[in-house]
Amino acid sequence: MITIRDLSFAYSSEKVLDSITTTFEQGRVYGLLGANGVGKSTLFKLLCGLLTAKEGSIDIDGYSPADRKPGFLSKMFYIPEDFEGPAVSIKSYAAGISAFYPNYDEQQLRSLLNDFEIDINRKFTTLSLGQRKRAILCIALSMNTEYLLLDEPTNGLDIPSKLEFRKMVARTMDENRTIIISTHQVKDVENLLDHIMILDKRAVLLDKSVADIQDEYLFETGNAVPDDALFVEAGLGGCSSIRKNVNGEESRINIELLFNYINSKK
Amino acid sequence: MNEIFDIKRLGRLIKYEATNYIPNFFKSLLIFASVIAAVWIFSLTVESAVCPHSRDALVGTLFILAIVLSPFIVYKDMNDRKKGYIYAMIPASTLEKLLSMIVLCVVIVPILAYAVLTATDLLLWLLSKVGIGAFMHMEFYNPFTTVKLVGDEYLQPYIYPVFDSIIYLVNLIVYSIMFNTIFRKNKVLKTILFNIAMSFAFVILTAVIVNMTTPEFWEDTFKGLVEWLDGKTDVELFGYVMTTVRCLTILMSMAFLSITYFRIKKVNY
Repeated sequence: MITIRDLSFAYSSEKVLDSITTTFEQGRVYGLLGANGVGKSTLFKLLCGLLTAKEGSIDIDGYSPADRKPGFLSKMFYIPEDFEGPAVSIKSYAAGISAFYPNYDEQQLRSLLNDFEIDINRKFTTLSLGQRKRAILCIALSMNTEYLLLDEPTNGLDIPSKLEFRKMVARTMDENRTIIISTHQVKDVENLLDHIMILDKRAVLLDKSVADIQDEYLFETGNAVPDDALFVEAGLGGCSSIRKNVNGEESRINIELLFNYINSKK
Repeated sequence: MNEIFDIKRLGRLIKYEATNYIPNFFKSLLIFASVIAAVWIFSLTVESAVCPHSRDALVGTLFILAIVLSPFIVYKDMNDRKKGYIYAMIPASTLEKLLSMIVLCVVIVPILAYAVLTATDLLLWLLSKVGIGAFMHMEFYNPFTTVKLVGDEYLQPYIYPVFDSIIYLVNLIVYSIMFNTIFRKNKVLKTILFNIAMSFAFVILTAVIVNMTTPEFWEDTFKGLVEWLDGKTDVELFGYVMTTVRCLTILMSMAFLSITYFRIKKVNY
């Protein structure tokens, strides 16, 4: 489990994260949402130990990420938004790095690459951005680490690849794994998420499970705007609205709408 | 799990880094080899043979240049803000990462560089069949090299010439390793500029100290040392100087490695 307590971080004089406290539990897929520059990537880097927190603490299964201990690093796999990849083949890179991850499954890698139609012998440098992202996603998933941090994983993926990505994540998800996805493309991951966290420059605006959000709010689309609507957005297909779910009705969560509603309240 | 050192994990790290990073260096090595070829071609157009001593000097110079530059090439991206995360997130300890860096840059890369450069020279000699002697002389690495002090007898053996060459070369490599971990961009240029700045600072500082003191001050300060050295022969003096230089070189290398260790441990991305 990841436990964050009063975490603050600043680049020079610009404070990015301010006194954030939250937890990430095992067996869940978290969606980390927020406008540009609110600190989503910074939070990822802090969780991986690539940055050191100025104030507060992060505890991941008893490890402090900033120590970058081998035991901690072998539990964690991080894919940044702009992954470039080393100047070697996918096969060679996976073979080398897999020696450090005890749960690596080569068959799984081959199967995932096959689904994405990527040749394992191709060099990263000869792949397009989308192909590189697909390749590293396959490697990341096949390492079967307990924590998987994906920063804008669907950026650069074409429509069939986005669908394949969702299938892959769903297929490889298990109760011991925590996946945190930071994205602006909420539609791409909407059905995957168990928990949504919306970050603002200096605060966590929302930190709730999808089930709790569905219990609390009702998401509707139609021509009429409900009188008790908390937030309304006009679109081509009518008006999308959010209102309090007072009768315990079921509705499909509209993350984009939720995001805009939460941001409008701040 | 031992979080500080595990010999198997170190082995895996060396294998991983050798597979992923050495190919970059190999490309640079081919450029160095092409320099040898270019010098051969140029020499053969103006003369009928390529002098073994010139070949020796050329290969020796390129070898030193290659190994001094190697950390900047092999571990080019290790602290890059965007690409460096791959290195930082390899599940190995800081000590293992440092040791792997030493093994690659101090052992594997020099062997590879020496093999490629001498093989290039040998191949060119075989192809041209105009070289003098069977093979170039590598005086620099000849363990039987003797050193002549001006006006004095040969010192035989010049104390551990191979050992001395190795510790100076290792010191140079470790110095490069350290600056490779300190600077993120334009590493070689910044290292050169830093050295120039340090040289200027040293000269200025020395000048200031010399101007502020009198010859008597130095005579008084080092009186004991001068008296102690007075009764020594040139051979003994040479030995003391070499031992002091050797110790300082080893200490400097240890200091450079310590800085590198903390830099690897603490670098942010």
